[in-house]
Amino acid sequence: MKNKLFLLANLLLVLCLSSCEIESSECESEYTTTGKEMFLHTEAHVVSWVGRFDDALKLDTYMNTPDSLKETIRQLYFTSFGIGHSKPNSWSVLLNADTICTVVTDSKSIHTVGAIWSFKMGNANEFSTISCIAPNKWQIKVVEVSSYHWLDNADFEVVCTDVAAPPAFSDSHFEISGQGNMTTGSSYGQRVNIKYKTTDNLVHDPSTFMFSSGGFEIEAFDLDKDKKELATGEYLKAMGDDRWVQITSRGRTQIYSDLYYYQYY
Amino acid sequence: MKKIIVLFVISSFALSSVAQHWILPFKHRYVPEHDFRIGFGIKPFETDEVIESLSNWNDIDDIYDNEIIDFDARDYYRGARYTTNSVFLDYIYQTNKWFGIGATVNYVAYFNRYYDNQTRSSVGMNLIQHVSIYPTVRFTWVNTPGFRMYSSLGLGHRLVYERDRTPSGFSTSWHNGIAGQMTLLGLTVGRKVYVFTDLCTVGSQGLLNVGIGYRMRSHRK
Repeated sequence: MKNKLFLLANLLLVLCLSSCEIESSECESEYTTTGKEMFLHTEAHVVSWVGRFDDALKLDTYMNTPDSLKETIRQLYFTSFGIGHSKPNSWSVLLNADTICTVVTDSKSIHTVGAIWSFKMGNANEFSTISCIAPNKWQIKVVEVSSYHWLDNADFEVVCTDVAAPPAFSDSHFEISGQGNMTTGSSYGQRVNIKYKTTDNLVHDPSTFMFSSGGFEIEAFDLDKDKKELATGEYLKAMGDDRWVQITSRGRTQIYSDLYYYQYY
Repeated sequence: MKKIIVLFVISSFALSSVAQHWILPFKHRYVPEHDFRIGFGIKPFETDEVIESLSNWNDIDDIYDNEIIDFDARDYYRGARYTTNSVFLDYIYQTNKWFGIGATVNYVAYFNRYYDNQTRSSVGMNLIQHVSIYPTVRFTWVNTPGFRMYSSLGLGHRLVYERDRTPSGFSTSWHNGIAGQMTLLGLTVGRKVYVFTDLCTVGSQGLLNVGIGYRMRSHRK
């Protein structure tokens, strides 16, 4: 009997020593995930249109450079791209044989007040416009432009806060305000509409990739499930490619420092 | 270590003794026994989940789902998942020296809490309880008065009850599954009251089972 109890005690000890935990904790750290996703898509939308504005500034610099220096400017601003100029006033940014962006000018420099340039992404259905509405002040207007899976609308005012005319977006100081919205088509999988407007001007300085301050107010709609979310995103600071963003959604606020950029185009 | 050596020597003797029993004609008729057991097992095999994961191969396509915004993003997370391990009751009618047939009832529960992503406070709980019942056959290949070695096999039904309480709601559900246990090597030590362990075993009861049993001689001969 003693032997039996000894054996049982040992086996029970083995059982007790074995942990009852069979799966460790998920330990999520994000509590504003929906707001973060809304912010990243909004930011990507703005960045993509600002990118076209940047193309316009660089093309203007390229056009107004003497022929002997054009290649230097191309290598500086369009390192991996080629520049096409097949028709008068029509310029293209090329990647191998693909047209990334087509720009049609009105023969005026983009820095001339009253100039209106039209531009179109490679597979977009419509042209959008960049107008110079005052010295160092432009308006970007995007109306029902369908590109890839998105249908886009945007209306931005871009102000260069430097005295000199900016040769490119990355080299100068800017402030951007405005609004936009984007909708995915049914071919994409999830039909979503995102509307946003800037609450504070988005501030760009040459030391950062994009914005170091400013913010958005964002609404997102799931068009299939009839759901709606609200969020705000605010740039706290930025350094190079890194930025610190404060996201608020569903009544909670979280600061992110490790966000990557979404890229549409 | 001494105990293990003693156990080994005993089992060797038992084997030789049984061999003699098989060779020599039986002097006495075997009296059938009612054999009752209660035991505990660790690491029960989650049959349902394995079958489910095998049948959901195509779920890998979900990775490529084009979700732009997760409108259903949870602001809570699942905490560590625990199990009670299994508790089982076993009844075997030992019809002769080597064969017995009976049934097993097994209970095992899994549970975890949910915690708020921001505050880390508990905001809900998930509890899954499995109750299984299955017929079991046992083949005793060493049967001496104080020591037995056996193999057994059982296969049957499992009823699963799940309660899930999260900040977004409360739900309960029932579903059925299969259950069973296969033991290649089991040992008992003792005569009427005995201890047992299933060492080489797998199934709903676990990968290592221990417990205590009671044998009662049947009056029927």
